[in-house]
Amino acid sequence: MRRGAQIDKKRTFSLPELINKYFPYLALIPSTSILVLIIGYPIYHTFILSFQDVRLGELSGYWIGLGNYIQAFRDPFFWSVLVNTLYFTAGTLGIELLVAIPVSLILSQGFKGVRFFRGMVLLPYLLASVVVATVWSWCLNDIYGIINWVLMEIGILNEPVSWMTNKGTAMPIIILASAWQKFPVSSLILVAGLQSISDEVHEAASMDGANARQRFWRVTMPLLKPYIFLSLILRTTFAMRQFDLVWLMSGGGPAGSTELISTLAYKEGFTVFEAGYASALSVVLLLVTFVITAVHVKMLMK
Amino acid sequence: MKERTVKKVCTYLMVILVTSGAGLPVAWTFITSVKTGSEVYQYPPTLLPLRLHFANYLKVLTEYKLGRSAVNSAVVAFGTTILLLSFGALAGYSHSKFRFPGNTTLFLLALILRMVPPITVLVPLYNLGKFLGLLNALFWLVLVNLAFSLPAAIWIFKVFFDNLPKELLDAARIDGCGNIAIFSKIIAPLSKPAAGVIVVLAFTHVWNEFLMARTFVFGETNRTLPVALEPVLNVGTDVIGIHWGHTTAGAMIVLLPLIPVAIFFQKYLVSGMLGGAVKG
Repeated sequence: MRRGAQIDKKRTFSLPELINKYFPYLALIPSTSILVLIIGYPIYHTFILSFQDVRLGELSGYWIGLGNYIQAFRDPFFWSVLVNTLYFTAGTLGIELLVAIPVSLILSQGFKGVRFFRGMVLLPYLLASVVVATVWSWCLNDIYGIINWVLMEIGILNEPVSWMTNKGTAMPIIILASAWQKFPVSSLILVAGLQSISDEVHEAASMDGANARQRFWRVTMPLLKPYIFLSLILRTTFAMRQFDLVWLMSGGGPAGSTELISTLAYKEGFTVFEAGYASALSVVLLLVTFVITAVHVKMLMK
Repeated sequence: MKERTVKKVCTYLMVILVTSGAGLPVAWTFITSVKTGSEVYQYPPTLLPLRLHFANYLKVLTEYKLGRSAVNSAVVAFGTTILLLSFGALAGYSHSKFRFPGNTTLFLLALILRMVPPITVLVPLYNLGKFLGLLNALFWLVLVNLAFSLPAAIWIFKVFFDNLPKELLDAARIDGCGNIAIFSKIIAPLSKPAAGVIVVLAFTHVWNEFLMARTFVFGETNRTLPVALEPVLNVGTDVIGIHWGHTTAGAMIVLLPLIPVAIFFQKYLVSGMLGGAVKG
């Protein structure tokens, strides 16, 4: 019997065709798997561990509910560490912003050597925390440090100061070192902000009789507000979790005056192996960071 | 006009202040690294070294094995960057040019994950690494660095691809190009600017990364450069026994490779940071 002009379509499950059809989904598989494996699932696991009395390396332990959190809230040292972390964050952000504003103003003007200046501004950001720690620990060395020597030569100091072993100066020093390392970030974000302000706005203000100072405070700063908040939000996230500089410069001392939540959690988890307590501390860090960021976002939206 | 001169003076003052503030401490560290041991500990300190003396570098590279550690750092940095570019470009492209349920949600989730501090997931990651038998392996470091760099990379690529005209892709489709061909022949070559930003930022961050490197890879032959420098710096209150000539030389070694990277990728570094894409 004649079959007629029926073309029998052969169903080919060729791989290239399948990949082509499902490309948008397949394209997301590599990154999503990594994110779920390394961050997604571990966050869940951290929460679970925080409700347990468990050692590092054990997959599960004795369930104690909020026990770890209660232990933390009852510990005055925990609260001083929390205060240290907030003090550190506020301190480094404050100094960074203070420096970033004039620096960004300068960077957004073209002048001879602005490229070199920009390179110098970027330099601290390129340094690993070990390098920053080395540079500052060496410069601030109590006996051989160049800073003590200069300050004594100028006459500000009579005898060298042991910056890192003095409870009153250790944290401010670390804050300074952190601001030194990270001020390029805020500076460049503000440069982007300044570049977004068109010249016409400034011209209009000048023509209305505003001098430079008025133009800065009444025109530039309000227009920069979203960028300032952007850098605050970004930097808060990363300042709150600061570990490297503190670990390398002071180890949390002297007497816990520079201990941050991250270093405390690390010590609990990896030197004392109290995985449950460490997890609880790091959950607190996560939540506090979230709250502060949410507040910033709210203020930005206003 | 007086206002302009005041402004000029202030600007130059600020430039000098910031340049010295940023540069002098690093310069002093370099100067220290090329002094002999006895000159390092001279008081009052000599502002310029008597002679250039590179034995510190030699010692630190061989005896403290910083040379090997540098290779390890390079392996992790290169590995992470390559995977980051491929995974990130694919995901960014998918988020940018395709509409399907869950697309936006997944994208926002990836961004939110950026808020997770590594310390929060460090214990589970240690357990996971141990379970997979990947502890003390550089590959594990590649994976974790990859994960923490992905949100920013995906975002950079997505924004970049958003700016590519849809007509370009439509024309290709009409010509019969399938998705695979479009991605490999059109998207990939065009994504160089975004790739440039990601390469410089990711390489720098992974090279400098300390916390995860210290936790997951600790063997003397396997560890990365910043981790290897830590005992040379010998932190905290124990200042006895640090030979600052060695420590400063080690610090310079950590810094040096990034200088050509920064210079070569300078414009990408700046545009990346302008866009707030950095890890603060």
